[in-house]
Amino acid sequence: MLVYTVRRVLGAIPVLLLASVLTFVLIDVSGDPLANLRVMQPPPDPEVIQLQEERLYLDRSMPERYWLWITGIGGNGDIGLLQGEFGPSTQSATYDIGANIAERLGVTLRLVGAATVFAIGLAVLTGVVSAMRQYSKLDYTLTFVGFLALAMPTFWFAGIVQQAGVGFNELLGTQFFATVGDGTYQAQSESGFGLVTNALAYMTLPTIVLMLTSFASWSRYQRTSMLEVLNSDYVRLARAKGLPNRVVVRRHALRTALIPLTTVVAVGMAAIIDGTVLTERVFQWRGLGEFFIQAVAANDSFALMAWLMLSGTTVILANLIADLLYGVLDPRIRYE
Amino acid sequence: MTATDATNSDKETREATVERDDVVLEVNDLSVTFQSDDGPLQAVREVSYVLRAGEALGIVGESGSGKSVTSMAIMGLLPRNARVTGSARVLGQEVVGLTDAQISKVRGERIAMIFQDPLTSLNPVYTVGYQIAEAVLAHRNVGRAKAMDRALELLELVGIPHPEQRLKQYPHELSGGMRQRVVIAIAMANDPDVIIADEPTTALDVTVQAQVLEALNAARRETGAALVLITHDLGVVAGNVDRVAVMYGGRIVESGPVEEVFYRPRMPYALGLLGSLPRLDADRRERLTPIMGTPPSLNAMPPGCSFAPRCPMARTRCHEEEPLLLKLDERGDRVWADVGDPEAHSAACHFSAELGESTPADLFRAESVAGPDTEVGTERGSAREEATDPPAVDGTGADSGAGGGEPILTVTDLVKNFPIRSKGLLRRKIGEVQAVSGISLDLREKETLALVGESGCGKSTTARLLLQLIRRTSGEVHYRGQPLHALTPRQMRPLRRDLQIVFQDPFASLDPRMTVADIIAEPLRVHREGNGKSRRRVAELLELVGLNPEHGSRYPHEFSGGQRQRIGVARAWRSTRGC
Amino acid sequence: MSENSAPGTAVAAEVVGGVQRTQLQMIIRRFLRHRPAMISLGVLVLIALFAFVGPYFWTWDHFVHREIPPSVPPSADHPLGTTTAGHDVLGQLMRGAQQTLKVAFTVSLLGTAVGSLWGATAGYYGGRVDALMMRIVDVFMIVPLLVMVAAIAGSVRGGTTWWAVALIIAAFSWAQIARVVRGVVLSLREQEFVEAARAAGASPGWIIVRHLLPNAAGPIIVAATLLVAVAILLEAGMSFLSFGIQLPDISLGQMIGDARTAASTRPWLFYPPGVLLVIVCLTINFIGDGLRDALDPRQTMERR
Repeated sequence: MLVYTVRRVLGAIPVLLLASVLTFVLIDVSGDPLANLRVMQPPPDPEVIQLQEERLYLDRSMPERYWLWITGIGGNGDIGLLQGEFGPSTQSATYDIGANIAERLGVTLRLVGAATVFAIGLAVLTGVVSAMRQYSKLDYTLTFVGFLALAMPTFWFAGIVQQAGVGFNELLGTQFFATVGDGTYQAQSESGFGLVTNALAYMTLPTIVLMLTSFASWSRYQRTSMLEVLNSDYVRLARAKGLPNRVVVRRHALRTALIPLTTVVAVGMAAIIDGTVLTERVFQWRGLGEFFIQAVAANDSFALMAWLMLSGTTVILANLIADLLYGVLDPRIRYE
Repeated sequence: MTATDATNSDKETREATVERDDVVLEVNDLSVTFQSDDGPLQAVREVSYVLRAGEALGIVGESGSGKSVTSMAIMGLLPRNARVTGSARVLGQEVVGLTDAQISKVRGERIAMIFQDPLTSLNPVYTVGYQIAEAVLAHRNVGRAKAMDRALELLELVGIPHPEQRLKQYPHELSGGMRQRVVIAIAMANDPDVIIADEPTTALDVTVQAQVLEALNAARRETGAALVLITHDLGVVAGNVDRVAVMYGGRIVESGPVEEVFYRPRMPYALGLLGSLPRLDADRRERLTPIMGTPPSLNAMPPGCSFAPRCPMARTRCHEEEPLLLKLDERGDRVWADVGDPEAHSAACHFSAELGESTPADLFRAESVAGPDTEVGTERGSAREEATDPPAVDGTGADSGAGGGEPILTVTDLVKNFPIRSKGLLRRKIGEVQAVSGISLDLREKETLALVGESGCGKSTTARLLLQLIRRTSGEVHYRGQPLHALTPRQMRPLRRDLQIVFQDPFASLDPRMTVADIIAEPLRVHREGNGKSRRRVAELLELVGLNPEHGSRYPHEFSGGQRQRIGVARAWRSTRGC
Repeated sequence: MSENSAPGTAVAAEVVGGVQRTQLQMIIRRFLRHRPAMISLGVLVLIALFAFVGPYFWTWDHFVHREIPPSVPPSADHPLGTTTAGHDVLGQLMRGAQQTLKVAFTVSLLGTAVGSLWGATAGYYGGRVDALMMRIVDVFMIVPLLVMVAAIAGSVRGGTTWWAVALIIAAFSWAQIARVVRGVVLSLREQEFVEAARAAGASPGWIIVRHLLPNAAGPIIVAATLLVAVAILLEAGMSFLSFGIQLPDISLGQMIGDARTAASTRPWLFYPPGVLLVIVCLTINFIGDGLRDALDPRQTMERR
């Protein structure tokens, strides 16, 4: 198991490295961080531009810049991933990319975590029910809901959910659902029960939005995988042994049908990250999504790179965990 | 004489006579219908039989004859789109129409089942011991430890070495034969009264088959259970059962004691089945007598006897009236047999009295060709004849005199190793497994060489090595003096015209998205020698292997397994007469 | 019902196989009988007509016109109302749908072409070639798609046109197709008919084009269809973040983005583009489902 783990970790490194090269080159080629400055009217002093170029290392060639960005050797001490520095920002000379990410990470992780957990739970439940009652009205209904969810643009659905929350509040004359903001500041003054209701108020609607797409695709997957297992020879043998139906389903079908879901969930993490950007935008959270939008708007290459590396690492990590979990769950893959 | 045949109304009388003392399984007029896109399909039609304690019944038939579906219906394991009518009683208890909870109490406890494919029959995520113990715990109120003890005992009974270790292993760590014995152990777990074994040895090698059959016999001895052995392999039936029922087109068409059916078949189909069986004691020159045609489609059953379209002695009555399953009495009249009579030999054939002592060759050879050496026969006959003509495919050993002259294919010390990689970090190559070790052989013109062995012994690997489909580790292959092993894939390509292969699996070896004509013409096109003539050539080849030349525009899935294999032969055909 | 579910259905399949029908006829027949897919196809054709032919018959295009009164709710003159700036929403909707469909189908075409060849090559050669090619695919799979394309499109100076958006999305979404095709080819490669072709002397190119790709056609077509839906949502997401198609051109996502604060005050701005997007994606997913059932009955259920 240890060897297996080490091998998977080692295998992830080249992918991450390749991803960093790819994103670096694409971001670098596609935009000019000083675009806004250059088109300014009246044109700024060429010296100002030159100073900015030096600050952002734009005076060096692209390979040099990549090397610098990774190692920080030859830089001004504000760059070098291996030294824990993400590079200078275009947004201002004092804008610290690392600190900003650290500050927002908690907000986003909260949302991503909650959405993932609920999406998995609901997907397994509906997938299994759908498979057990194949071709029933319930199956058709769940299938249609799944298709609808897959067809729904996250941000539009978010808008509708937000409206519904507002409507709910108005109807009951309460402020049960918070429809704007992430509630971090409010949480600081609360404790105990207040903290829970605060979290509930701010988290509920965005979580519903974010989990929708993933839930739908995982549920479809779970249904297929469950059907396959239900039709397998070993489930037939389990029935032939005389086990009652619910035992067969729980012990033989569900247990085995859950295994492939680990991989699917891991791959789906990338989609969830996409979703957070949109969801945070609608609910006006100050999370990593907003950080990303600001970075793109400001042509902030290094901030974007930091963001993409972080999300890439997250997805790779998720895949790694899934692989290891697979090894634990499926004895055929188990390594000594 | 047929005027005295019994009719359906006489049936009532015989049903009353069944003695129920030692009957463990009684199936009566069981029918199964599937709802499908093409309307209802009758997979099983009015099957009846009686099984007494300790008795072994063999059910024989081709795939699609309904033999498995019958047993699945008894076990209540059919999918929801199946409609089961009639009755099946296990120890007097009706099991057709039971709810899942009710039938769960019968399954495993009174009637157990063994399935065909041992590789997929066990759940991959649980240990062998757990899966056996589970069967015990399903019906016995004992502790987990007790159940495990029983599992150990069962593993010993079915002859698995080192049962204590095996108990903790997962199915993928066991060989196919061993897994099938585990499945048998599961079936024995609660001392059932009936064990249904559905093709238990089909997926296994001959030597392993013997072990599994031995385990099955051990199970019978131990539990005293009656056995229903479902198989298409007459050889398996012969030594292992008391009575046989032959199924065709969803019906039992012949049933009786095994010697009776084997030596005095009363139905042309059973006779044909026996004729299709190769015999070691027969003259090598004597050919098998195949039954022509294919089994009927369930949605297009002929109105009369379902075998009539393939039957050489079919008459008008056979095409119009479906024969009942009746026995011959002393006067040669067809009458209802006593269902409880284990000695009764019944057949569903209007003319079973005429069959007498016929041999398969008498019946099935008569209409095809005049004699083995005749060049011209009927269209089909000639095709078959040519396909098995000694110079082309059929075997002639060195003794026949055809094997003289220089060898055209020479193999010297052929070795193929596959690497074994370590489970460590670097997956270093830590060893090799020899798939083929030092094979040498010569093949002369017009010679047929047979490579015989169990699966995994390297025969297929050798064949692929000869054709350079995989690369050898060492050794030499010469074809007409050319060293094939030294050629690059590109250099090899033109030579492939002369070195052809017919594959094992007729379903996998034909591209499902190509028409049959395209498949057969592919070698010609690849070597750019088709140019316009390929269509005619394809028609010739189709005719040569006994298929309708107009069927070239069809796809492989429209043909039966046997027909597909003939398409494979046509593709490999590189006529030396033509060129 | 999958064919390998039970002996009974296997029997049924055998029997159906015995009926003489060409494969294409069977595929078409199965698709025609898939009611959701057929309805969806009809709806999609109507929407395409609306998007591409509609503008020729409707008074207003997607630009601002001085004659258009701002912020008017739906009326006879403007069936879907107008925006604050003075756009006719119906005109915008036609143009937006048009741009969305153009982007989505271009992405699907490009992505499928590149992805299929990439996946088939990797799958056929296997070994190191496969390992290297699939690592590259992995790279594309780990970056969140929307974020990546938005970052690039947002960085490109001077705004983006529909085909630039399509190119950027295609550049990142072919990887999914490659993965699907590679998986299929990997299993096909082990089939005896491929070996038979090699034994007949066929070259790798011949085998990939004549045997592997036609046999992978089912999964490829299904994946291509689903890619259309993916592309639509991606484009809409980009536009919503205002990193997609730029003004004065318009896309459905952009319309929703502009109206996101007006959902309750001016619902006619918020709901029509969203509903249209949902319908387009829904129809495409249903068509994909129908195609999957028709092309590969073993993989999914066959409806009765």
